[in-house]
Amino acid sequence: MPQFDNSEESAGRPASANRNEAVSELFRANNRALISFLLTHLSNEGEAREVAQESYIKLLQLDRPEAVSFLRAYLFRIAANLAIDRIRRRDRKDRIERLDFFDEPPLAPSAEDEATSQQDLALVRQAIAELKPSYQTAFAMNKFLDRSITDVAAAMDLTPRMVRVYVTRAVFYCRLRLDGCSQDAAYKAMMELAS
Amino acid sequence: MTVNDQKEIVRLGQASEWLVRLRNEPDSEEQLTAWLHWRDQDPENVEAFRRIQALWGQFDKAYPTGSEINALLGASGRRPREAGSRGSALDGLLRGFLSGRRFRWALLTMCVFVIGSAAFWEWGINEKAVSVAAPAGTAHRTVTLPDGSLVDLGPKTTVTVDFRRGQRSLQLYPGEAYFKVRSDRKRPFVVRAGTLNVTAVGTAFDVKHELDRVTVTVQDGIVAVEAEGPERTQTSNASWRVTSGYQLVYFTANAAATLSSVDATATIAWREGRLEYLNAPLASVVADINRYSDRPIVFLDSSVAELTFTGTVFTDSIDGWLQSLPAALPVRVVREPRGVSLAAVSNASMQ
Repeated sequence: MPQFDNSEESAGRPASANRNEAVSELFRANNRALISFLLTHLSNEGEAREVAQESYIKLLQLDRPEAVSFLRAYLFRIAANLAIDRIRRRDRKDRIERLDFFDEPPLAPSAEDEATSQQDLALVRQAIAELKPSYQTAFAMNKFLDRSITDVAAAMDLTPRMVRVYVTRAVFYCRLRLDGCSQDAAYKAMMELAS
Repeated sequence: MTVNDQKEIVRLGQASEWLVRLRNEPDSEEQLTAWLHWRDQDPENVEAFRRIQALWGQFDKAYPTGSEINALLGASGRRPREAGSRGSALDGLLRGFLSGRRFRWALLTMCVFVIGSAAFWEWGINEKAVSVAAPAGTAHRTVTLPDGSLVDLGPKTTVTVDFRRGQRSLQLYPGEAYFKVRSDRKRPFVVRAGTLNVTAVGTAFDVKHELDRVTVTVQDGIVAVEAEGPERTQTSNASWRVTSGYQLVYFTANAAATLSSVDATATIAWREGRLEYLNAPLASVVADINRYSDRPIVFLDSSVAELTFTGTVFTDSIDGWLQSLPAALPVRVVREPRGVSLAAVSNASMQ
């Protein structure tokens, strides 16, 4: 925990000041990447922002000032752990207070705002239905049942690498179909995806 | 946007790979560094990744229900349509997943944090809902929902919670629960009890779901109560607004409701271990008590069930209440090996 001791503060701790400087810099340079990273685990941007904040605060509480390059890796590690913790046990009561410098405008346009008309959703379903059945199953188990690649592989009697390729291709194919690619073009691109 | 640019297609392919990798191996530092590097290389990469992520979020909207997801899960074709036919190992596994209720410790879309070791979670992909249940004979359990609302569960009470896609939808099975709702105008908080829908915006209320009736007591704020008409009829549903200090009792049999002014604190005293009654039929008192006890109380004479009771039952001292009952009402308490019977006092046995 940070200590708010006046005598110490007035004596001046350049190390701490440097660290805060370093963390602020780190924030400016990496916040978007961090939130984007967190969104792969948390489905909601508000929550991703909260976890990002918590990670910075954890970082501020570190005792040793270190090089920013080290801090960056550490920051993402903290954030990943916090996100996983949160998924496991969501107790919203101990929410941290907002810090001013985190009040950044939302990433525009947000994933939520991105075209979600009924027509788009029908297109998504159609694209998924065009895939090989084993792709559909692997994708659904990973996405909706939240089962790990290894788990899916065991259940489907496939190698983990194959499952990862199936899921990746399913997402990729769907994106291309939504973006107006023909079935053939999307299929070709999907099969060319390095596996 | 159309993708005719080969570079853009490659980028989206890379973004898809990154998404799947990061999601499944969040701990790999090497991978993270590589992803950050890829991201820093070109702002177009950032955008491609964002668009893949947006699609990842859209999947949840495209497949809102368990049955749609089940169809995908069963797409590999070997899942038999009829019970009793052969099935692969995967079928068995999936069926276990889909039909059984499983503990799920890691929930992606929502979680309810349960205080108290005896309360538990269940998750079934069919409903994609969480149910929280309190066992018999225990003090009530307080559960904090993802939006910060609180639910106090009475004994032998199950509530299922569905907070996906911007809704707050709960189902109360026979039993009783008290809800303290965190205000959110965009997401009405709807508790379904049988055919009754109780909608709150930011309020505290209690719902008791019994076989023949549903009782809604409002402690704070306003709730809208709507009864669903019989299916496939176009008749408009009956609805009521209940304000604080009022209680609505809806009778399932004739789809009618009574509204009366009550002391809401008495109604929700069960949360403190007291059941308070004012001229209540003994039948409903006993129905409540039976939820707190593993030794059921039954009526030997229906006339006893119709007696009215006024007073307090302490849920930790049900025996004491039974002992004192003959002093208050013309009732004989018969202790049986597995429970307790209440009989009318015949003239002969009266002193």
